[in-house]
Amino acid sequence: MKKRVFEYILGGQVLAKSSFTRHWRFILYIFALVILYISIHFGIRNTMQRMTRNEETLRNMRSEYMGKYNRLLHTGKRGEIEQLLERNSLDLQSPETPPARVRMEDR
Amino acid sequence: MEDNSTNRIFLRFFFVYLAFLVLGAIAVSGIMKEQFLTKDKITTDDIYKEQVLEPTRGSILACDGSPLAVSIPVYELRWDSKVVADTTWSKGIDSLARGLARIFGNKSASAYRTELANARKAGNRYKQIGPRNVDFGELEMIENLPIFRLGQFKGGLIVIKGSERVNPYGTLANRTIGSVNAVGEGTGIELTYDYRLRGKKGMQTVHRTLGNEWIPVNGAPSSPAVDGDDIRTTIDVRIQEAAETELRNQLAMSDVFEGGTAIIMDVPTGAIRGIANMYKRRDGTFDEKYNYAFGHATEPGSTLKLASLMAMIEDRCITLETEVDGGDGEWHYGGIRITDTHRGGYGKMTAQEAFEKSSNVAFAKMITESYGDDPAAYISRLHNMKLVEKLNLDIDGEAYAYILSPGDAAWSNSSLASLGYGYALTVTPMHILTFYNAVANGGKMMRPYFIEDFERDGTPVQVAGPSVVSGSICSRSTLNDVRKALRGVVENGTAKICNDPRYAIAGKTGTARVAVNGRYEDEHGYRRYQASFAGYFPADDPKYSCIVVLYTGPTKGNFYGATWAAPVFKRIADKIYTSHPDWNPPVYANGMTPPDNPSIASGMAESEAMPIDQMPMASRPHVKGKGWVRIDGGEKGELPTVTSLEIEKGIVPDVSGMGLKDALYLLENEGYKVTFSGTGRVRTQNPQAGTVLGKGGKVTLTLK
Repeated sequence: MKKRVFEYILGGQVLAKSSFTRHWRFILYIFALVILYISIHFGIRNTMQRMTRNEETLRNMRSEYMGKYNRLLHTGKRGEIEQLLERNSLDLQSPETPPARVRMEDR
Repeated sequence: MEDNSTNRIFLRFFFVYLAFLVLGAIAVSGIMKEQFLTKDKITTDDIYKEQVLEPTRGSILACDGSPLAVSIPVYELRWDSKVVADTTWSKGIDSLARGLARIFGNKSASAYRTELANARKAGNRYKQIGPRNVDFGELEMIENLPIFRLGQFKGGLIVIKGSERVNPYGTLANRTIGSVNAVGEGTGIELTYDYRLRGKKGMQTVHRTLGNEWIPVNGAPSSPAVDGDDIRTTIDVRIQEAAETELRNQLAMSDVFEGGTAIIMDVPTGAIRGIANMYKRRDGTFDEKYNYAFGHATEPGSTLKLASLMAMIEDRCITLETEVDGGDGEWHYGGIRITDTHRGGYGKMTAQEAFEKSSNVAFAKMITESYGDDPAAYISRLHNMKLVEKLNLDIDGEAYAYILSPGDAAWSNSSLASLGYGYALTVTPMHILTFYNAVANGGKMMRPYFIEDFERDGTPVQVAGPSVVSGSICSRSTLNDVRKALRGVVENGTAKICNDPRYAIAGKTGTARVAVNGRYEDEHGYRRYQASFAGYFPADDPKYSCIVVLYTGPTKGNFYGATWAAPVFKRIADKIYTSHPDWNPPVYANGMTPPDNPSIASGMAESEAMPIDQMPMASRPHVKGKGWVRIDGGEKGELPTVTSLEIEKGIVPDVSGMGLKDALYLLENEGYKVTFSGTGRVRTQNPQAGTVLGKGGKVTLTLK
């Protein structure tokens, strides 16, 4: 009896039974749902991985930006500019009068 | 036949099934082994973990928003020399060394080649690459260099990620910005506002994916990290750099100097635009190390004569014209010998000349004559002028200011005289500057401050800003007198070196001997000096006030404020003057007509109803310190002219051009009965200005 049940399932005869043929659409629907669930799950995981990588990229870009910005700020110091002028033997002197704003008509 | 075939199929299927069953059993036994027999068990901790989310520490910003201290991700580079194959090494080392020399720029390619070769020869597996940590941009370049581009296991490059507090301007304002270590010890803004800068840690549960990446578990409880607030300070980078550069250069001119400070304050608000604190290091150079500016209280010397002069004029003890005898420059009082710098003394002079020449003898005589009967009145006056007021600065470390008072154990017969020329009290340079700033600001004393606001993503979340210590430290007439005296010091007195035709400086020099263990001179004749200069500029419409103080070590030489501190003040003022476009009116391009200035009504110059500073004008008339004024002109961008009105009893004053409120106030205070017609400003008045008219006389105004 046990052997016959085993054969019945493994041999595939069970699929030919009326209960299966009657509900095959529903079984297919359940399978579709399971596949959809698995797909969404992996989709979410991929998105989260991408988010994590993007956050890392953003941090790295911030690091790069701040590094360059800091070097430019340091180079823009008056003392640094005066040293550069001196090193390059440029005979530019510090101003003796303040700068003035020039007003022009809007075009 | 059919049965045989079915049996054969079943038999084949059975073997396939058996094979899967065996494989399954092996897999299950493997799992059992890993779970129960292997020592290094895989636990949920290997797949799930609680991750602490580190917040980004807030930045400290200059007044224009540029960063003074900022936290950025950085990468430490190490090198495992043993993993590199010989052929890879010989092919790539030259290019690698050239690349490192180009990126770091601190030494030549051959020096890098030698360094790496030595490390390889010594079998170094953790050799530091470069003199500093690198940012991501530099890391990308370094990871693309020969040898290193092969990765950690073939090229040997080990990258360790971390975070670093960076000061883009180097040591600029180092003492003010400060620092804080892992256990919460430190200095400056970093320490005082650590609780706002550090932010709040977050937490989340993460799990490991097949790609060995950790991603957050959906739905698990989590709290995000909250980044620290940014702090926008009052520091102006250009002014700060000018202060540090000029102070350092001056200190380097003599080995005797131990340190110094320079502070620059914005007159109307009290905002500290620059603050330099230089302290001599062991190698003889100077660096921002010690808080002289407001953490070091000493006897100020002659810069305090301004307070003495103000008190005596305010209490009507003297005027600027009061004559005082400086004698031969030496005077004995209360058991001490008071001397002047000038050998032979100054003889007879006015109080203003005594101030300009900074005569100790004259000030000791004037103060003892003025308050000899009641020294407490003088002390009380100094307190009223908020000279030793606790400033409640927004950075920790303020030193205590103290005035010796009658009743104190240390009070002696000479104490009052000493107070007259800046001894017998201890104040910080910040206290002195705050006092001078009040004089520059029309008598209104502003609290010095360093923090403009706290920001999040560039938007202020809490504004700190200016606050008033005292609305008026003295009367208007006293203020006019002391401002005249301060200008006189630069024009005729000890600070002539600061006289400049381009813009006017007003200030006072100070030279004080510093007491060590209660003595101003040790047994070998060595003295310590404090040379200072405090003042403001431009004198007629002050924008900045500044103090410079230099401290010497033991010396037998003389170090005067006029020769050592005043030049630093002048050079700092010059740099500020030549770098700001707001000193002069704008230049109009060809074909442009300057706009008319707003028409300003005559009236009380410093009343709230005359906010000239708020008006959209290219340049402004100077009205600070003036009373009733008449204002004319201002067309086509020209500067309106301001004339002070003389108000005399019994003479009808000129109210033309005034609004009705001012005209009524002035005329009715003079005792006249006023009638008026029309609206606008006073066009005509009857009787005319200058007419003699008794109290109760009738004045008719026509407004238009």
